[in-house]
Amino acid sequence: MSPWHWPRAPILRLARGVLWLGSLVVPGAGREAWREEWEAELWVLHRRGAGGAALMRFVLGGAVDAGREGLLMRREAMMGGSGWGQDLRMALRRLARAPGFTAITVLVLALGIGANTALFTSLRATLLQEPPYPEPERLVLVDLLYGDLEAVPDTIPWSYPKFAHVRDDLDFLESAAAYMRWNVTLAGTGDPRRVDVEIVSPGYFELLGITSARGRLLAAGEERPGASQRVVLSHRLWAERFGGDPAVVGRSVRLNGSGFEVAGVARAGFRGLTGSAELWIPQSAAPAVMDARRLERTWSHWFRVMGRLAPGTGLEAARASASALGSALTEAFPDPRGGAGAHGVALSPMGELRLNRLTRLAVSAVGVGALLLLLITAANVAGLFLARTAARRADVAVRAALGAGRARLAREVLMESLLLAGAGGVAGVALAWLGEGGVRWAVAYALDTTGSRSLQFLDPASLGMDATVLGTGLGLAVLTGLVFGIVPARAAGRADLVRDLRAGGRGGMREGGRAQGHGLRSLLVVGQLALTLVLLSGAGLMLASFSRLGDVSLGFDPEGVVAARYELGSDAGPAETRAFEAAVLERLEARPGVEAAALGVCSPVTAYCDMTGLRQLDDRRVEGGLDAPWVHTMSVTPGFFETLRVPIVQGGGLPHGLRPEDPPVAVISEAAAREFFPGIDPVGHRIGVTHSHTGERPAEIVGVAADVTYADLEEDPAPAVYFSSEQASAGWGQIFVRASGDPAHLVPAIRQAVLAVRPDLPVYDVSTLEARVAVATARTRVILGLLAAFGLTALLLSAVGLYGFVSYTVERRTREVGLRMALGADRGRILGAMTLRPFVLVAAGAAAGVAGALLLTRYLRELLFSVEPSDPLVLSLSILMLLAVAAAAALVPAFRATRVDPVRSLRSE
Amino acid sequence: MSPRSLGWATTAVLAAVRAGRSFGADIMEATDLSGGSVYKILRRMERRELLESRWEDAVVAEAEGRPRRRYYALTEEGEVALAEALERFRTLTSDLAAEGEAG
Repeated sequence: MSPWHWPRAPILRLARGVLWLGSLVVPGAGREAWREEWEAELWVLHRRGAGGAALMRFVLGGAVDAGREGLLMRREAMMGGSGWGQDLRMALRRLARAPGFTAITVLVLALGIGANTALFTSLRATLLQEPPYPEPERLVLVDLLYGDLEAVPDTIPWSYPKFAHVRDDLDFLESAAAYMRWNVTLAGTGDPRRVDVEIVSPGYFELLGITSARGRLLAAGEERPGASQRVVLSHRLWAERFGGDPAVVGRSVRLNGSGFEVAGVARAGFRGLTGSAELWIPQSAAPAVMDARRLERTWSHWFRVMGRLAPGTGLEAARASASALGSALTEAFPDPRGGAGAHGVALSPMGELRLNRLTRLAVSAVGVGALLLLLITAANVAGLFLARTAARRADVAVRAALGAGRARLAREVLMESLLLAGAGGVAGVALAWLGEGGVRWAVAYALDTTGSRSLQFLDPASLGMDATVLGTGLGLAVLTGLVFGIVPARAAGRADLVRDLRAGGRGGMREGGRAQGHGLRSLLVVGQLALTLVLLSGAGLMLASFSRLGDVSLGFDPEGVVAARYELGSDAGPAETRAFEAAVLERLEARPGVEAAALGVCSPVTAYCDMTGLRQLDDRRVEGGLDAPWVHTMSVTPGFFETLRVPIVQGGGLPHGLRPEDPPVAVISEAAAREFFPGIDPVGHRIGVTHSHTGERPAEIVGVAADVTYADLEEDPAPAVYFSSEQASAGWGQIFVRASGDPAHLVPAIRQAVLAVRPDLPVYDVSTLEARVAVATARTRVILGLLAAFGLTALLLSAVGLYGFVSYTVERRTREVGLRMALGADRGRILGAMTLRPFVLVAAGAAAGVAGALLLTRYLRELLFSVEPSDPLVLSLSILMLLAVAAAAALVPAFRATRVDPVRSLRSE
Repeated sequence: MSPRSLGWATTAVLAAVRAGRSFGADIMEATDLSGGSVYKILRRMERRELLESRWEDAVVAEAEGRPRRRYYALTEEGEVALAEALERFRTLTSDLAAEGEAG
């Protein structure tokens, strides 16, 4: 409480209010003092009888004073005091005076940091992100092993009876659930549509801790056979297909023609463990949408099993308990064909399974590429800085002579590099932000193309520039700034005043153009060239792989063929199926623009073709149970070979007009002929395989077709056996149409042909076979694209680095060149003198790069296709490319040296 | 290193301070300048170290039942600068007067 009292006059209150408001712009320390001073003056004026207008004029003047003082005090606080503010101001000024240097440095940094930030976004998404479930570290994939357990047994899915058999003995798990991918036709809400679903055992949602957005999820009671047929919708399906209807629970939908009731909607973002589910069907209700035998047969392995480790149970202890289950399974389910196959149970943490090894390797390769690029960026910028420090040497010497301490000088240089790194970081993050769409697309593409085999737990919608990514980008920037700031800062700290003042900032002639830091710059140039060569040869190897993948004989001609999937449903009998197929083919073949049409259960290069065991060759039974040879088994219409242009190399194709009761016939592939009938003509012999539609009746071989690539292009085609769908129709598969013109024009024709026969049947997965071949080479292409982009960016950066290095040398030696020319040296000699050192550096860089490439590209081996990591051609071409670009980068400034005017260069000193 | 010459208003403020008008209101009265102008000059002069300021003893202010004041005084440099400025104005005005008489 003050010992004096302000009079209660309203004008005084107003005036003091203005002063109080004004004081707010004065920074903290000075605010109180400022107000006290002005109030004291106000008091005096009031006491001396100043009128209201005068008082208001006075306090408004005060407000102006407050604004001015506030600004000044802030500026003083920033620039005075710590000395860092001063450094900042100086650094800003110096950078503004060298706009070219600043722009190039920021650009180079932005490129390096942008590429790395974008990369980190995808790396984090693929490798670092935790699965989005509670306590994901306790989730384990429970795999069934089968075969010779002493050797490397196959990991196979579970059959439902086997899962049910062990479910109660899984003591080491708190809970476990089985699931399988399937797809069904959804009708009852608009046009029929094909949707991916998961058939799940009870407890699936509880296991993963998935909550419902509407209604409830499947409960344990759903297991009883014949319990009500209820399904759970994905949030996306609910939003898209049901318009987010809040009253969706209880509505009925038709799946493959059977009625189901909607039980609830899963939380947003959840697409199941297969990553693409739109709908969940309890296992008990699955017979309504699929052949019930898939669920009932002991040896029908379709399910994956996920479990949650019991609290306090470690992975190793759980593995020990799991191994005991194997023998129980073998005892309960002995190999029906008398083979020696034994069961085992293996546990793998969910986190490890999120990526297959090849994808992990691919992502790592790209990550290493990005890291190399960052190193090149840092080396490049360090080179720029060293040059700049050398150029500023006289300036530094003057400042040191005027009393600036060495620490202070070093701090200034460091501040400059941090500023540049900060600007480059911001620009880089902005670039990455722009590139985010690209990364998102790449990940979505990778998901689509690799499907459940690798990135199944990844949600592309969750990708984005969050705080971590942003922080990483800026962190990289600061790190880069420190790294490339320290070297020049130390050089500035060590400056030799007398010599530098005398040299006037230029290398003296006695030093032969060398100066402090020159050796280091040379080293940086060599390093950049070497790393660039590593990147170039990596990209070159991928390019070679890609081009060789293109040379792989596919066994068919994808050009001009469009394919679409259909599925009649489990209730369609063989006669109905045959009628459907015949009617669709008849309609398609009658269309103009259709050259040929056929149906077959499986499309080439999609890696989704069924394989079954070989059972019989002529009269000989093939023993070995599940260890027997595996073959692709497929039903096709007789026009399949013609439509896909698969050459028949021996015998003929499948005859037309076969009846189901005729003796079965088959066409086998060349691989099957080689493997099962070595050295003899297989035509006329008989072959038997497990096939749900032929049973195991052996079929007479009528011809041999060329090998078609059904699975990975990188692998040799597996043996294949083709049955006529007239004898063994499947009721689902692919419609292939070869167009005489653009196949895209035939897509509506396929839909119309199918709808004309079955108005409720959707066709889906419509694409040309060329597109499918492109998808099959996607991994190689994506890695190739990224490595090539890194390689070319690196090449550009190295060229800039070398160009800068040579330009700088030329500039420093202008006087020497002038003198030499005055003394009669010709241009050729000058050019030689100027390029000798750069060429030595390029040679050293190339040599180091070859060593580095040989060391690092080994790790690409598994990603390569029929090319060795040390392929001499690829390496030579990479070296040539580097040499060509480096030579150009060095020659341009060197040529400039030969145009030096001797008189002017000498006079300039 | 010659200091920037002082303008008329600044010279007047410094002269008022030397004449014993040691805080804002008094200086305003003596120079007929507005509060804003006076303070602008006071701040600038203090930064140039031609003026220095001190806070009045709180006991004195309390005894007189009013807020504490901030008093300004000339530094040695301020004395010199003021003397130079006054001399310059005197010369200038007498030269101009002489010119006027001659004209």
